[in-house]
Amino acid sequence: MQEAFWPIIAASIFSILIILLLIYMVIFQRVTQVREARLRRWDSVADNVLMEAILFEESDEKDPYTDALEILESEKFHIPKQLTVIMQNETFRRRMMNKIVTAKRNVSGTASENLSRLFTELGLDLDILSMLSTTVWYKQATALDLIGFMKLSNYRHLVDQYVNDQSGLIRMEAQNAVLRFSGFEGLHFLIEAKYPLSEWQQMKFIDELSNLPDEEFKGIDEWLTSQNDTVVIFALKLIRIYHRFELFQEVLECLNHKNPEVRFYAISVLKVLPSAEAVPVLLELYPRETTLNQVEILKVLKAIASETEIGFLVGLLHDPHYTIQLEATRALQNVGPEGKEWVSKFEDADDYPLNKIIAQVKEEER
Amino acid sequence: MSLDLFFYVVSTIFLVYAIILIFGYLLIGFYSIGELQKYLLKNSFTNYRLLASSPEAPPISIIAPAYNEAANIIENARSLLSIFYNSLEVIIVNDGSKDNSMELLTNAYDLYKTNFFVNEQIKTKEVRGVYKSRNPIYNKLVVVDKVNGGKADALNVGINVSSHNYIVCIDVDCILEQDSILKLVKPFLETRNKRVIAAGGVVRIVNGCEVAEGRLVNVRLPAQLLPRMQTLEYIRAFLLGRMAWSRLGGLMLISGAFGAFDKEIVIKCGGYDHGTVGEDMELLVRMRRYMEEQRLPYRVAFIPDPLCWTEAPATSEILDRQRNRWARGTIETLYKHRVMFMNPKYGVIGMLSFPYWFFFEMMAPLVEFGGIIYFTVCAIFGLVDYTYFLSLLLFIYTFGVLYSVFAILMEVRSYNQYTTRKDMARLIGTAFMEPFVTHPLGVWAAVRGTIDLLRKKNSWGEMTRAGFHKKETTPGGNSNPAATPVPAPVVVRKTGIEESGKVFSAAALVWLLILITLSIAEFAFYVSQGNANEALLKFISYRVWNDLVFFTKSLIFLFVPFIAIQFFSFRFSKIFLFSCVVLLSLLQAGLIIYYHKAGLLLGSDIFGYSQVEINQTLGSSGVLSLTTFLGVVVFLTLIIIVLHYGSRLIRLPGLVTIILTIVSLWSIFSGVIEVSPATGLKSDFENLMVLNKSDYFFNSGFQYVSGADDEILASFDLGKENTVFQYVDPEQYPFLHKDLNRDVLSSRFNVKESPPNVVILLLEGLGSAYSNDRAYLGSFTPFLDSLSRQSLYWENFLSQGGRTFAVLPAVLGSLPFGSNGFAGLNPLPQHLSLISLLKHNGYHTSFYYGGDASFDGMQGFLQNQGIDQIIEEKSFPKGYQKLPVFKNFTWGYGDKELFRYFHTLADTNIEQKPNLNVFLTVSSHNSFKINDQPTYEAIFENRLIQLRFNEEKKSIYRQYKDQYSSILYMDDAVKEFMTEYRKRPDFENTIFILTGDHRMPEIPMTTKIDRYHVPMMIYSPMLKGVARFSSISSHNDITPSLLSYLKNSYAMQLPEFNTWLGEGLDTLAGFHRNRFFPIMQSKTENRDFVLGNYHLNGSDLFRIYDGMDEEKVVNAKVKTRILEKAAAFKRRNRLMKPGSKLVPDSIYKKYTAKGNKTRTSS
Repeated sequence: MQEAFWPIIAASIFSILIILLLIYMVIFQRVTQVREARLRRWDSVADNVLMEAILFEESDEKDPYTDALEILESEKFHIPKQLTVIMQNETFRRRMMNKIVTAKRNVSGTASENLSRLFTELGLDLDILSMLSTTVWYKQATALDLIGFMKLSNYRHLVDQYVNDQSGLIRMEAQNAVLRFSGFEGLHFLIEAKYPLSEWQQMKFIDELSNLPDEEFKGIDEWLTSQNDTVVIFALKLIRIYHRFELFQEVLECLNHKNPEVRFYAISVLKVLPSAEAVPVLLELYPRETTLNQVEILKVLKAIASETEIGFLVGLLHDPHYTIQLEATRALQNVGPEGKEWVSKFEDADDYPLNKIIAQVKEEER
Repeated sequence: MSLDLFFYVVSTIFLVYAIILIFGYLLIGFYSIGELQKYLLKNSFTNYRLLASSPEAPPISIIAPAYNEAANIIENARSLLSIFYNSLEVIIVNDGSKDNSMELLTNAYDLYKTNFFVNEQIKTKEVRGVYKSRNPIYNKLVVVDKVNGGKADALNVGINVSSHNYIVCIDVDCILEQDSILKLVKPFLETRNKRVIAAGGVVRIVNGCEVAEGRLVNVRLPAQLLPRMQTLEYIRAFLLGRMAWSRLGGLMLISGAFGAFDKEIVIKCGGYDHGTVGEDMELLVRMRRYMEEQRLPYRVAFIPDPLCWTEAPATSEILDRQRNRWARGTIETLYKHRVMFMNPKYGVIGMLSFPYWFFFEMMAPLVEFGGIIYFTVCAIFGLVDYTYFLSLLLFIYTFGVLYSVFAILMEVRSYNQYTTRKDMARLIGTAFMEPFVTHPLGVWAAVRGTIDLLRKKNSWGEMTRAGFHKKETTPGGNSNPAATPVPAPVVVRKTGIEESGKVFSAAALVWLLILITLSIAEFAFYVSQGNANEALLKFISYRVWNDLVFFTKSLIFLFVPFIAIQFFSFRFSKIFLFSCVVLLSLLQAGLIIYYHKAGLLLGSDIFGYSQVEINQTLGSSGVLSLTTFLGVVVFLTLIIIVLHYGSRLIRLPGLVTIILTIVSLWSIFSGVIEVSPATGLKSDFENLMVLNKSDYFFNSGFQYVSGADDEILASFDLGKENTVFQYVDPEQYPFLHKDLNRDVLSSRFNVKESPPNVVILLLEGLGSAYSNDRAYLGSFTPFLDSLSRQSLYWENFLSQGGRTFAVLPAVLGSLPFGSNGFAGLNPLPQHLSLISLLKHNGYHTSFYYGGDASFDGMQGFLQNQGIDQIIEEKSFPKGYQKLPVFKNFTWGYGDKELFRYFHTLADTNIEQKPNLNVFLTVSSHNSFKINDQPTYEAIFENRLIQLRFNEEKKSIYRQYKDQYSSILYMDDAVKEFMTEYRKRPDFENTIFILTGDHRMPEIPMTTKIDRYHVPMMIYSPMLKGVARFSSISSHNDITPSLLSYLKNSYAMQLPEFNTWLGEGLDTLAGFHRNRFFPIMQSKTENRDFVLGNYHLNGSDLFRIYDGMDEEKVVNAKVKTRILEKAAAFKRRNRLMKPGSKLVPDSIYKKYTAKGNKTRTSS
């Protein structure tokens, strides 16, 4: 065991590895620096072309009899020969791609369309196509993202097959791309959505849709009956955001959904679809609900309850959950003078915790 | 020996620990690479701006506890309020600061006290007031003023006050990256199938960086050494460690400086524990434990992006206090949740993370500290070679540097924060320096932290925060909360310790009772066999002492793991302890049975035999049987019952355990545990019987495994050896020397025209104790006795081994032992032997054996020398009767059948060539079952009468009637062989050499040397006369003498150089000669050496008298001389590796005929 040589051998191996790692690090940094310097030199060429594309305007005075080919030719951007040469460099192509994408994020209208055209003219769409044909998840996801973002309509048909992909990222980018091409219409994939939509994905959809004109899109009622609970939740969010009052009854039906999370969102939607019709349904639902959903019901009742519900709300002032007591007090305080009176004259109003709760609620009113 | 055992065990534990730790780090390092790459790629798709501005983003509450932070509180609050997030609440909890923090905040933000109802879902210290700003710009801000209660309490208040479902706990003076909150929150939105209960990110060191208005402007490496080293430490811990654990799903710690939590789960778990100094780790472990126990799918997310920048301690005092707390926090958390340790119910965290934290986070500083002290002390006292010690340090150091450099590389490939050449060079330089500076500081602080905890000094110490730079955050441990004195919890339950002590002392007592019961049973058995002992008291007291010694020694080895396991599970520690006692008891019982069956103590020999050989030996001795199995079951049941009820009935005070442990430690360090053979009893069998068999077994095993002897001997200078041999090149050919050419036989033989046939009869188990005129047990070999009177006879002759494995290499090649016997070396070294040399000189060579020739590697050994023919068990045709089957096993064909077959073959196979025929008999091997047993039992009875034994003596001898009968059978077989041989025409030109391979140990021995004392005779019609010699010779002397004789009398071609260990047979009449004989007792034990008339057995020196009786003596001078000779021999022996060359090619090729293949008849 106590052979002096084995630790020496091990230490020698470690030392060699240290040296190799250090050499690798030096080379890596050097190569990165050289590459960066070269790319920076090429940047000016790229930036000029980008600027030209953003500012490009089509001539309005075209002779209607001009040959179609000529028109097409004239609509092309001027691509300097130098750029054509450096575009052969893989790293630069990626950089150029990123530059166009970044620029496009910050412009809109014609400039944005011009950038998409430039993208195609530089043949970067072909790069995307080859990325999509790989089996590497992040390349496929990037390709799908860019197809949608650059609005490469030629490749629109390729996207659909990925909307139910088992890779979360690929699926998400494909669904985003569909939305970018088709707006609200694109949401049809929700009917067949196999996988849950993450909160993040839902946020992205809502953000994407917020850029589109608010129209009476269809299909929400169908999504509300989806077996995929996250689709139902997303539909409820859309109802809330777009105030789709005509779906009030469907929302009420969702209050009977087996998933408490779905019920939570259904309850919260009622805050923005205020209707006295919801009150008896909520009161009937209340005893069966989770504490979280009960609190949400009380928040809705705060907006829609009438004096009829005072008895119910007063009964909650003895609830063991202080949060329920707090929300019930808030609701009572909001019912009107009678509710406020009830709060003030309540038998335990001067005792902890109700005294503190009432003080807070009264202060909130101010 | 015992100290050696201790050193060996401890060194091995340290080394194995270090190697496992290193492998663990390597695995973690590599495992983190993939996860980091995946994260970076995935992150490139994330648009965090969306999260910041979206009204759909989940609202979050940031909780920042503050204690005496007046220096920076306004700036810090502003920094938090400027965080870009749509729905945010910033809660600053003033934990009863003694400075003017509250006043500053009130003024700066125009605060007023609200009527806020604090829903106390987690119990906390009193809240004095909740404040909000009148200025709507600061509507996100909530300031809570509370009574001082420590960081955990302040955070709990923040949780109670918070109005959102996700909380982010942060140290108030941390500097956050712009998108930190967004990155931290995102994991909560990504996962649907598992609930994300917490998320943490990378913390980096801000020292040296440019900071403006609470924002990080430029990242630079700290100029000061300590912070720079911590920078490296943080990179390593976060980029490699945490990343890997995140990938494994076993993250146990989210830095207290910056972490996000699911508030609902935090509240269900009871919030932060203010009774620990490591509240951040404790909370996460408790949350994970809760989720596992509720069987809810969950995830703890880790973000490798640098999110939070914090100032590292710049002085060694603050660093020391920080690391001290981390150590305490870790131990407290692990102890509190010890139920999870190796508990499959808790999945990855129980089976992987928890053990990792226990062994490699909590124990690492302690082991490292202990290891350094241990090896340093060993090096100082010369117990460990300095070179070895330094090379070990170098090994650990280079690995440390490698791991750091690897972490730097990962940083360069991922975030590349330190871009300037200067920074990078300094960072790399730090990797080389860190093991000498912060690492030892950290280790020392952790050791002191552990000690402090054990002394229940569980407070924050006297640290006072005086502004920004004293803030502390952990990469691998816990963060420093508000420095608030908090009452110390009692860490180890007193009742637990007491109960453990009682269980241990009870189990120990039962263990002692079992040992003594087994000894009593053994004595009872021995006496029931008709063995009386005059010195009974001495006999028993020896054994009781030895049992006590072993018992005492064993305690510490039971106690340490028992306590270590008890730390986590009392139940498991009890199971462990009881299992150990059961196993040790079984072992002791087994060893006792073995001793009485085999007549030998089982020691390291167990390592020297293959599984097949062990089975063969055990099978032949009848140990493996249904009766044995049933016996074991009954014995086992009894022990378990005794242990179970014993531990309940026996309630000794816990103090007994402490005393026992101290005594155990003392016994190991003192010489008292030395296994020293008793002397003065009736026989060596009894001398050995009084030893504790387990003690011998473990000591012998340790000696073998450690090779401790060899270490000392390895450096022995062969040039200093006083020897008759002229060695040529001891380092390359350790045994090659000039031929002594001592021809003592030519003058005793008539010369014939042609070289004589040589017949060597190696007789199994034939010892001088029961053969020939001077046999002290009376001779049971009448024929051999008569033959000896017509022969050259050596009365004081030694075998080279205590078992059969040694006889062929010694007799036929005068060869050394190697590590497990020469024939066991694979491949065999290039060597010469009687067989190869006689074959070279025209002999036809054969080996005859009734059993399986592959046993003990005999066949390979013989074939290597190009033997012409091997006749063994498989070679026998029909018509020959095997030895009786006993317990489903037979050794093969009996001696008579072997000789009969030889003569049948010889009739048809007589060649013109001279023959060398070597026989090894087998009938007198354990189990001693022979054909025609009744006849030989009758002869045995008759022999007892002839020897004029009285009835008492006869009854003792009858215990060994099988053994004696088999000897009588063998003697008879030799007689028939010789009678038949006389009829052959070549008889007149034949030399017969007869000797025993070793004395059979199954018949109790009186001395140590007895085992090797065998008869040796050379008989031949060519003999000029008979003679008897008293001088000591050994098996190793046969080949040298025989070859010298043949060379001189028949002009045989023999090399001028050879490797014979023996000087040749000694034919002088006097007893005392200054010759050296190494002897191997078993395949693994080379502890016997004879020099002149002294015998060294282990460390005991004996003086040998004529007749090979011996007595123990003390003679340091002689002992040193023998040890020197032994050292030289062992050194040579060590130089001989498997496949090496004992003789140079030139000699080997010239004198061996490799072309002739061996024929194994079947």
